[in-house]
Amino acid sequence: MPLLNVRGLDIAFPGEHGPIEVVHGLDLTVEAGETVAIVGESGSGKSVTALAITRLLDHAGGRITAGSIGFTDKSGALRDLAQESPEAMRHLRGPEIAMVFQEPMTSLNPVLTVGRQIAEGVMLHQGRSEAAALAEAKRLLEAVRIPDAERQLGRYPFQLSGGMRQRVMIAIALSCRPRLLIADEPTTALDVTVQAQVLRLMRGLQRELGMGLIFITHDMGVVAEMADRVVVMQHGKVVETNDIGPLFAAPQHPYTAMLLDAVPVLGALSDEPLPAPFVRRGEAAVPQDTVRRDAAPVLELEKVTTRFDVRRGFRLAGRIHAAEQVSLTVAPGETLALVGESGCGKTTTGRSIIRLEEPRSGTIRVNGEDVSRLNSANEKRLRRAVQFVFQDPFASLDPRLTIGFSIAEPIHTHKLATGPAVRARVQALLRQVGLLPEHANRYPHEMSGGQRQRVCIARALASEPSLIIADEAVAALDVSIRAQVVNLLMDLQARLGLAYLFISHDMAVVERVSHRVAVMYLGQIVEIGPRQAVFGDPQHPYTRRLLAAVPVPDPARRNRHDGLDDSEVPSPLRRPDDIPVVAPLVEVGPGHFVARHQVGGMY
Amino acid sequence: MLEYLIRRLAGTIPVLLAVSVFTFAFVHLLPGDPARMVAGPEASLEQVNRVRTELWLDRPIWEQYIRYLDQMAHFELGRSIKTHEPVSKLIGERFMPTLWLTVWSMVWAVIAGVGLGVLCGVRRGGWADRTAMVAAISGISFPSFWLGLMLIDLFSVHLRWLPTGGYGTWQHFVMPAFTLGSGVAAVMARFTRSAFIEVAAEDYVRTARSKGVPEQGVIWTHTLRNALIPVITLTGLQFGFLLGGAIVVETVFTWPGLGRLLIDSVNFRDYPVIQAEILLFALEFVLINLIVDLLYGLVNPEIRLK
Amino acid sequence: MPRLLPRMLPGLLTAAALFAATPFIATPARAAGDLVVAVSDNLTGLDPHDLNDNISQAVARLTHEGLFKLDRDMKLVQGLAESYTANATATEFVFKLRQGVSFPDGTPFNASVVKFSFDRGGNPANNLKRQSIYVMIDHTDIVDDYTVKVTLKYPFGAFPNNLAHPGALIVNPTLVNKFGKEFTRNATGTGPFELISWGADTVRLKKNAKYRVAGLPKLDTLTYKSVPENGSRLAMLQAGEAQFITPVPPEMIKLVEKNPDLVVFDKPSLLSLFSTMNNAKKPFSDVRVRQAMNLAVDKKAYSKVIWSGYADELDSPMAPGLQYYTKQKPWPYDVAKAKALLAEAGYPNGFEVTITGGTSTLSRRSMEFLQQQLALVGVKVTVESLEAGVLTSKLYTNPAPETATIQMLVTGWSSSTGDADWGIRPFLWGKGIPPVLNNFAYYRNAEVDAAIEAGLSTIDPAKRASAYAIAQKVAWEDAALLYLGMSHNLAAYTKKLKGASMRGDQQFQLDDDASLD
Repeated sequence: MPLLNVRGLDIAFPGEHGPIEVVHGLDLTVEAGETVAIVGESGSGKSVTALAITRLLDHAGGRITAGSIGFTDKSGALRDLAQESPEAMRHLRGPEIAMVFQEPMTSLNPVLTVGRQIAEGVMLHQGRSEAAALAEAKRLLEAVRIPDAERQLGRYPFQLSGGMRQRVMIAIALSCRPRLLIADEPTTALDVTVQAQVLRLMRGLQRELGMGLIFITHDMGVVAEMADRVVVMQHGKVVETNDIGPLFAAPQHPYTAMLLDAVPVLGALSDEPLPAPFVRRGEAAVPQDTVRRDAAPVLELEKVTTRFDVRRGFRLAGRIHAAEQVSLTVAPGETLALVGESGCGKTTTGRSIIRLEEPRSGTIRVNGEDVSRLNSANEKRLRRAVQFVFQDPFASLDPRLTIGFSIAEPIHTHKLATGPAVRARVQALLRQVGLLPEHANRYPHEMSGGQRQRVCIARALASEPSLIIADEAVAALDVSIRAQVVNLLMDLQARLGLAYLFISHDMAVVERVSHRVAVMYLGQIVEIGPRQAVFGDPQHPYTRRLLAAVPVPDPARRNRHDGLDDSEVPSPLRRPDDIPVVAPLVEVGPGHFVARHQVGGMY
Repeated sequence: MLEYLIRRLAGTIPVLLAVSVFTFAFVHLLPGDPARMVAGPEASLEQVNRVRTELWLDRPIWEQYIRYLDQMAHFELGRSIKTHEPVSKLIGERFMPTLWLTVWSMVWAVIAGVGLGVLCGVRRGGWADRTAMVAAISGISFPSFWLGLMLIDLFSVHLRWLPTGGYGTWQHFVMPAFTLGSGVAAVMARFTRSAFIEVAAEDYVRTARSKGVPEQGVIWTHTLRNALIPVITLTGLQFGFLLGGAIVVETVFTWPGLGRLLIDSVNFRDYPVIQAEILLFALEFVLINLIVDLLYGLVNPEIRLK
Repeated sequence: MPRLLPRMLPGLLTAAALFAATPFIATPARAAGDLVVAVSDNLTGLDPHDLNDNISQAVARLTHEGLFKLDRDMKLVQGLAESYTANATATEFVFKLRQGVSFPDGTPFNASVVKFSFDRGGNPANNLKRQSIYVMIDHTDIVDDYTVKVTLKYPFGAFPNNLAHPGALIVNPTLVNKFGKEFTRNATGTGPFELISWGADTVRLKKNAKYRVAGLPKLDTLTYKSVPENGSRLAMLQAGEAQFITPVPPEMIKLVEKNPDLVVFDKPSLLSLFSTMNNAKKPFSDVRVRQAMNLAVDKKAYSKVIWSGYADELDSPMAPGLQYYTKQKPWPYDVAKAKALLAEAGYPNGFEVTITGGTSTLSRRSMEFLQQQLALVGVKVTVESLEAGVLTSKLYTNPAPETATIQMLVTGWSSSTGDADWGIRPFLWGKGIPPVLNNFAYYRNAEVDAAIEAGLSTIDPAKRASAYAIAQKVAWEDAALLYLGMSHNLAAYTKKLKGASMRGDQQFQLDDDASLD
């Protein structure tokens, strides 16, 4: 008898014009000790399914309209969770079924200590005293490999890093030894090295406890790392279910095939020095050579330093060394990828260039002109020559302005066209980014995420820039859309000779798009060089750690991470008098430089 | 913590100094001649002029300000122009009644406001929620003047349960505190409700449910504690509102407080009293903000520990 | 729900602690002989020489006595003086004092006390608000223990009336010396009541055991409370927390009348209400214009609209309750004649004028009433309502008739001495233009001035009567002011209270034998 046996599940949410069905006829079985991955893009109904199984759906406003959720409880009785009373479900949540959610930052109660939050479930379901529950909490923290567990019990969530918080979430979920664990995108919000740690931890604990695990994700790489079986969902329906091996080897449903094709595989271009767009399965990648090495660089940074003061009252308590003597150049038609994990300073570096942050020192040259000191004349040229594309395409468009108006704005600002020519230009730009001229009359909310990001790109192109800084520009998009937007960026580079500063944490995408790569760690560039050299022959230990952590969408290559270290990245916050050491990088190959000095204590 | 407290208290000095300059200028630029008001309508010109000299009103304004600052430095607030009583005594007598009135109004407002707010947050959309919110809107829109008189008519004149006004036993507090607190209770109820609903949608509340925490625990431990954080800030702000509202309530209930003193002193251009009172209000505001900040830290570990 | 209690425990404890910390004051239950009087404003003090508000003066009159006093009908009667004589030119007055009177603290009352009191009140260095009462005194001499002689700088026939003013109440020298600046909150004279405690909004008095009339007063205690809100004051009376309240707004009289346990007090006051017209400037320098204005206003409508009928028509510049009042022929309401007079004066289409007043509802409604009335004769009125402080400075800072900015001022006057002099001189004497006195009309008429001065220069009642008769007649026919009416004193009290009333000068009056059962 399977642990979980879902049959013909329909889920609906109340809508303005009657209920809206979001999941239709879902079938799903999970055996004890088995990991089933539910894969799908946003809106596929995978998270709602998880909420339905735990009946947290009741509190989210949704309703199970048909079907059954068979569950074999600890006593061996078969129960239909779709029919259980709320009170009965409450007793099942925790000791029988537990959940880990996507957002470790918001899933823990900010005003309660970590220990209390773990102990709460233990006290509730096992009837233990507070002291005993806290002792159990400590044991659980140790089980999820949180160092110094005793001390952590009294700390609050805001005092922990994202990775630590997700471990605390796992500790909470496992506190009553559930028989089924549902993990909804548990690593999506984490940095890649932390993701690797958490995945390894979950695999180990699952083996140890013999739990059934439902792993919900959009990331095929993670699926390949974790799952025994895979359920692919699209538009609320299961389109394909198969064991992991056959599914990756020979996807049956075209949607599954498309998903797999769109996943960038790190190492796919290891033999190719140039970037190449995504292609369909079986087609050959066409590398494109767009760099004009003879020309003067569009962007030169020389020892750019940006720090943020952290004050306590009137006293300077410390400084965040967000960017520390960053030097780099970008040639016309070149893509330089700036990679690293959250807090490494890659975004600050990008923002310092266009003065969303004010650097403390260093020189910034755009098209040869020094713009370190802004005046009205060079500011205008800077604003025109360098454009920014942000991660969140929704937040960066004014919801009250039409798409056309948003795109036309820089044309007016820089006086690039007047009258009907503006309209023509807007339409041309829309076509250039793969949209239709009619889209000009729409509002942002009428468009999908991918379309909105295209609009943002069109708006960036409107001022005819020589450099676009793309800050995690594709990170928020679904896999299939992400591939399309990456291809669009590369196509634009080929046609317009644009240079990109491509800020990203996604190594596989970086491999696709970039000519050169700069790896940032604690505000410093620790390695910079041609992409093929940096990825193929990483010299800095941090670069190696970063690359090793990237999940590979190939089930045959799992279990690579067992030697991975669990250490946390140190904080870029330092005492005011504690200035980090920065030394020139050492050249280890043609154009390939690496830091040999100690950066932040670890490397 | 102590260092923080001292620093915060020291920080109030420039604020109070600025307030003193502002009120001094404001009060003295008000049209109207206090010397004439003091001397009365039947006084002769010589009498008025003598009063003017006695009160330093014939000196340049900066000289008057310097004298005022000098007095302040010696914790000397001067004497009332109208009654010649020391201002410190006038204010001292009336400060406590007003303070206790505001405190009890706030107690009532917090109990009723937060209680109703949580009830509505839990039962949102239900009839209890709708009824309570209608009551809350009414609470905001009833002028306290009218509400006070209605209460007096019912409880003092007809039922003879409570005294019509004045300061004294706990019975004297019931109607004024209720009247003064009602508007705030209504604001608090609406605010608590929306804070509660907002927090109820937070991920960590879902986490709590996923642990099998009973609804009571979800409401009290996980939702309310977080919802209270913005409510505390609101409470601090509403204290200022209460101080303002006290003027009307004190008039209706013949409460011997600062509000009535302020009206009297403004009408009479009793400069020393007006200045001292405004300064006191400013000080009170600063202190309440400090208390709110400390409370804030108590509920919100992020503030406490950073 | 059982889990709720521990969760609420900290809150309950806080509330309990707060309750324990609140300084509640037990208020004793009211006994039968306790009278509570609720009035509208705070008291400013009890030092009789330093008071200029009716409410404080009324209390000072309960704790103090003067050489003379006014009874409930504003008639002059003996107080601490048994009798007096004066010379023919009204410059020398000799007072025989009552014997065997003492202050509650045992200080005996005698001639030196009177001299101390007069010297104190009249000394400019003391800066007391009632100095004006004593300005005519040159010096006071002690003839013997119970005889005092006062010599005046100039004739002042109304001097005994002056001494009936609350500003001339006799203070206790022991207390003055003991308390200094704090005297005003500790003052107790030889009056029927003695001070227990002073507070700006509550003053408690008790029966003066040493009062010179044995067996009086009948009341044990008297509490004077300031209750600014009209509705609250009425509620106190209805709830039995107060036995006498004043004022009662006209619109609330009906509520009192409905209650069989309550009595409405309604008597004409001495408050004459009028609007000034700047006699020194056009257009009001022309007597025809001033007369037209008086004809153009319907005084009956004024009483009805503004005072709900609780006001009478004026038939003299001063109220009938004052000494030497003579009745004049009321100005009729005659729009046609008013228009004709205006045309004759050269204003066939009227003119524009600004009328100024305070911010009270009464004052604003009065101004709007005049605006409507005068519109009918073509006078376009702009209403200007000024806050008290602003109004005062506007009235006194540009005092010369030519520079005065106020054309018309809605105001009134009530004499606190009961005598004609103070009932007319402050606002109609040519030498009394602001800031000297309150002649805001800038009225200057030789005949009136001479009559006012003659009335002061003798104590002969016949001579004084004829002088004030002239002053009243001339100022009335000359239409010196736009005469509006005379309001009533309105108060309410319980049936059980006997002997409490309002005097014409709007002061609370408690007869010595007042009782409450």
